[in-house]
Amino acid sequence: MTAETNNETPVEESVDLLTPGGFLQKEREEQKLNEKEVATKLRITRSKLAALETDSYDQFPGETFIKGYLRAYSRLLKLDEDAVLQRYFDYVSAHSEVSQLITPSRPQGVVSAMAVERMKTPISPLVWIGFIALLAIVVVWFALQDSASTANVDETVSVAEQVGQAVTETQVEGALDAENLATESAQADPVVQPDQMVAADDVIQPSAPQAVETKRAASDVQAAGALELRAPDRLELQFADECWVEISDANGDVLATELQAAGSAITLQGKAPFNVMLGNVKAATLALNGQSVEVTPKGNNRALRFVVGSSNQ
Amino acid sequence: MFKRLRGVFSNDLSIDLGTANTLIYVRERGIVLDEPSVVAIRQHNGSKIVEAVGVEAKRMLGRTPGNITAIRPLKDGVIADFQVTEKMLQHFIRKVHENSWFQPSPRVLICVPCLSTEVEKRAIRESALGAGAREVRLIEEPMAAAIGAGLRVEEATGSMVVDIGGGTTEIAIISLNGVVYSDSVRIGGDRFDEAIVNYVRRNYGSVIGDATAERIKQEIGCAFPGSEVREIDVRGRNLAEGVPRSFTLNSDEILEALQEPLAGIVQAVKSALEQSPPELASDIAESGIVLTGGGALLRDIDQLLSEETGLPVIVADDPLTCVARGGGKAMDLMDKRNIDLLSS
Repeated sequence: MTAETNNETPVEESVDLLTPGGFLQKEREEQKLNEKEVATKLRITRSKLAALETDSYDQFPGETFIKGYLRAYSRLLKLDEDAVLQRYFDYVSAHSEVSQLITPSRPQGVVSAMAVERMKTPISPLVWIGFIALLAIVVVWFALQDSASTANVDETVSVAEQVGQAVTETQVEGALDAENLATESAQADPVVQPDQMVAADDVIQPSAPQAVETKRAASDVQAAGALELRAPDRLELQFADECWVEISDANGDVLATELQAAGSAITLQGKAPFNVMLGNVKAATLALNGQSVEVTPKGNNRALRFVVGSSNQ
Repeated sequence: MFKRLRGVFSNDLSIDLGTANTLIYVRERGIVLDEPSVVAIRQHNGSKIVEAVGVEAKRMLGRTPGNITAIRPLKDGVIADFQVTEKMLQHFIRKVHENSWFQPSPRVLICVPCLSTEVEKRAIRESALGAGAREVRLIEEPMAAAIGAGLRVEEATGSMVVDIGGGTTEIAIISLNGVVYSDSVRIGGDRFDEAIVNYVRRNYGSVIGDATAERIKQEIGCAFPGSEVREIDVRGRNLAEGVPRSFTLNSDEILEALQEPLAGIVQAVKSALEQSPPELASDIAESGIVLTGGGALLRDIDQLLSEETGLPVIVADDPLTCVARGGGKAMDLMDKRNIDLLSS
């Protein structure tokens, strides 16, 4: 474009100030052509030619046509087409307010803009928004899942306690046969799973001091509860497979942080509630003060962190 | 479902799937791809492998050994080789999304010749879907060309657009976002090249390739006598002697060579004018005919049509990209107003 404007400089100074229409009209008069001749050659009506020469561009059905007519006109007068079009662009950008909205498209400018666009291909803001949204969803999902799993454990713990109580009550009634007890408790509460029956079995193994203690507790459940508040709580764990264990009690004392071998069992004493973290939930069997605690793993996670003996104790 | 997810990371594309060139326009980014519709295929152990696509493949046209074939999968504006077209589209779509981490799955608008049959439209749709598009829309080429040229297609005035492409010339009269009359003749840039090849063989006894013919057309080709005479030096194989010879062609000779295909286009334009409803014909007579497509770049073709029809003829700005740009604008229109611009 600059080259074209330089080409114009040999023409008189005043010519530079002329509008495209005025410039064409002046050139036409210099070449001694009348309007009728030009209109016939351009195949447009005389009113259109007059509109072109007076820069009344709103009479044309679109910029494409204006530019086309200007080109044809300048070709007819043997003028530089691009120079005339440049005048038109300058005129439009200077005079018409509407043109601010519909900026005339300059072919060369368009091409260079395209070249620039081809060079840089930015990641659209939409992609960024998508990423942020995805990240937010993931964070929220994890947070929800975490809280849901602890709530679930609390529920299962309380359910297990109720089952444990049912077991001790049946003991009070004098039904000492372990097998019968297990089946009865299973009938009493269909929630109890077969593996829990095993747990109930373990609880009522006839180890002497334990039996004494359970009987004492059974004599008066409430009194026993009160006693247990004072006495240190006992958490028993048995492992069918290797399992990492981290347990701390209500005072914050760490009772165990170690890997337990398959088939091992540990008994810990401390103040309930216990914060328990198990590396392999399925392999572990828990009992709090002789009452078995059922722990259901959440989803496919093997590891689980939960609290035992929080509400009722 | 997965396609939709990938679609979030893809742009909406407007594709001008032309016989000679394929152009892709992306909203807010302009024309991002302009490459010849040529695919080079290598035969390897009985299987076909895409060797090159676009500019690279075009350079191979006519210069390939036995195991490579450079083909143009589109002929006369429609798909001639379905699988190769699919591969080509796939390559172009990926190229447009070069910096994307995902396999792109864009919404695509493709321009089709106005007289293409249902089978041909279906072939284009299927190949675009096969190339990874998640949604395919079709638009008639002259409609896109008119929108791209900046004509006011939504108004109740007739506009006539002549899109001279590589394989076909599409002529349409458009009013109120619809095509009132359309015609398509199988004459385009390729026929011009062919005519030049034939002319040179007849008058110089030499054979030149299509690529050379195209270069001659672009450099000195003209459609109307009267402007300055230009010359070009060409090398071709002399038929009688069997060795390459150099000779000079001038623009008057090329004008003579192009007479036949040009007459075909003029005839089609005249018959379109004959068949247009009188109200629209008067609109066209007042404003004129707009030329788009690569053929509009042939020197003085507007003067030829103007002389033959007696109407003002205007070459649109950047005529090569009119269809692709118009397709992009049409996609916006379709989204905003929920209208379908495919009238048939």
